[in-house]
Amino acid sequence: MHEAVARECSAVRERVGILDASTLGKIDIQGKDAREFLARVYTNKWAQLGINKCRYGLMCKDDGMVMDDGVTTCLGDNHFLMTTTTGGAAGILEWLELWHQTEWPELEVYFNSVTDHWATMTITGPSARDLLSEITDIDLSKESFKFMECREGMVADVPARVYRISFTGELTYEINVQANYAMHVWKALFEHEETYGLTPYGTETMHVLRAEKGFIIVGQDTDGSVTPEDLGMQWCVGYDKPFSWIGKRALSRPDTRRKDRKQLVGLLPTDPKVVLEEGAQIVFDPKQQVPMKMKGHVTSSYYSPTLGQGFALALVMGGAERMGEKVYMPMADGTVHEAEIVSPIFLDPKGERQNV
Amino acid sequence: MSNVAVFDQNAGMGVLAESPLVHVKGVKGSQTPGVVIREKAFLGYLTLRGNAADAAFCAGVEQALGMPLPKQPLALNQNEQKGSSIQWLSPDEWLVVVQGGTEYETEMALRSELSGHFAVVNISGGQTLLTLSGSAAQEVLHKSTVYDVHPRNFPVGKAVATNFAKATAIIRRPSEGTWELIVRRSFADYCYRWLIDASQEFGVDYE
Repeated sequence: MHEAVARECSAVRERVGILDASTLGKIDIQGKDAREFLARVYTNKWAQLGINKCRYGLMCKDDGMVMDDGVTTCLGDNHFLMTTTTGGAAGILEWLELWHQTEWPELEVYFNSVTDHWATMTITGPSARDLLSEITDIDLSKESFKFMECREGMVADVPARVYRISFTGELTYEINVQANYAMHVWKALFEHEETYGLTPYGTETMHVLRAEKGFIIVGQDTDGSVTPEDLGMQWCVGYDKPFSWIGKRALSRPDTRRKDRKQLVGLLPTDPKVVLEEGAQIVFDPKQQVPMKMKGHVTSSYYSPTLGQGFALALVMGGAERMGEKVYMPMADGTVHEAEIVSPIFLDPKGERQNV
Repeated sequence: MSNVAVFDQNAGMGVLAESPLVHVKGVKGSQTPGVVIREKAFLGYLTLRGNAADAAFCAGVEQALGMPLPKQPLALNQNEQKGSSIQWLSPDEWLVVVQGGTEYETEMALRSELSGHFAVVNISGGQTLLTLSGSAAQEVLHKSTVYDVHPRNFPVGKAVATNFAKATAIIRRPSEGTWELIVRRSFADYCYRWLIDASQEFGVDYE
């Protein structure tokens, strides 16, 4: 298992990997008020998003706590495709319907699930462009098909929508085709397996790759008590948007503005061989009396073949102000792990690898 | 039209399409089957949204599809000439099923007839359709769903989206002797295997 994950991680970072991402929730949104509706349910801004452009969006519940995230693409002025977390797909569709039917029935917009209709194949890695160029008529040059854009074209003789978005931090194309054609496209890609070292990878590898980039998984790195700011995602919150979007009011409460809230940080264990246990409790002073004062917990933890060591994401009280400090994880068997608080972005903080 | 991105998602000949049940193989022509199960693969499916109280919307749908918009809950209308149907799903939502490969032209026909606030979405890759016939077809459904499929409650021309074997499915009764099940792609394998298993005691013919 560990060997397989390490092999798959290296394949993506060095050449190109492929993931079946079809389970991702997909919601087709049509109507003249679609853009306005998005601005009310997401924390960030949608007014200026142009046609064929993609944007990451963060959704809060009315209590200001993060409930879902995903990339939404503007396909036409009155047409958007929203993606949701896999597990959140049905719940988010209900959430949109609830707010539309009970609060804003005057907005002209329809939501329809297209999760099962589109098959999604994610090809990611430095060789992704060369691989895709073998079987598509879409101009893939970096000038004409930029990061966070969408294109329509033929892939292996199948009409496709290709999204240039990335959950691994590498150059990535998400190929979407009508699901009945998925195996045909998959096989066409694998005709070039040896040329590019194309390697299928699974969800566990996806988890490692995204954590190296500090990309959160809602429900793993969040638990319904985490605000966008707790995640260090202030850049994704539009406080000056004209409409009071869901969660805005709650985010102005004194409790959600506290400096000592649990905040997302990275952890590097002092012993590079240690892979911390997810869920492990974090203390600042390991010598204190039991019961110790719990200051946070590990949310995601893996061994990174790229970094050559274990690494973790964690929620730590006041963590954003504690960079470089040591924290401790006392385990049930009496051992105590030590780790340093670091940025949650372990790899390529400027995003240069995905922007080539 | 530029406000909504519509494109023909059908690949040409030479591209092998695979239904969600491509991997399952069955037994054709059992001696005295009580249940006959067939898949009608690769049909075209569109979700239609709009306001049934708007006469222009209703007229536009009928003009485009050659059959009236069902306004009664759970109603199923069919166009036998075209081999197509439209089914009530919710007060502002219908499922249009057309012959495979005609979903794009059907969507364009709807879009040219309709105006104002409506939506059409191609969902043809998202599900497949199974037909159940034979003397015990209704018995198998009795075992599989809590919905009452007795003819007094489920006449010809009715269609419901309901629980099926703890998953979800659409159950339709297009004619006296035939039931239709529309199952989501991700549930198709499970629902199919459930049906085969539930039909064993009656003798089953499936492919």
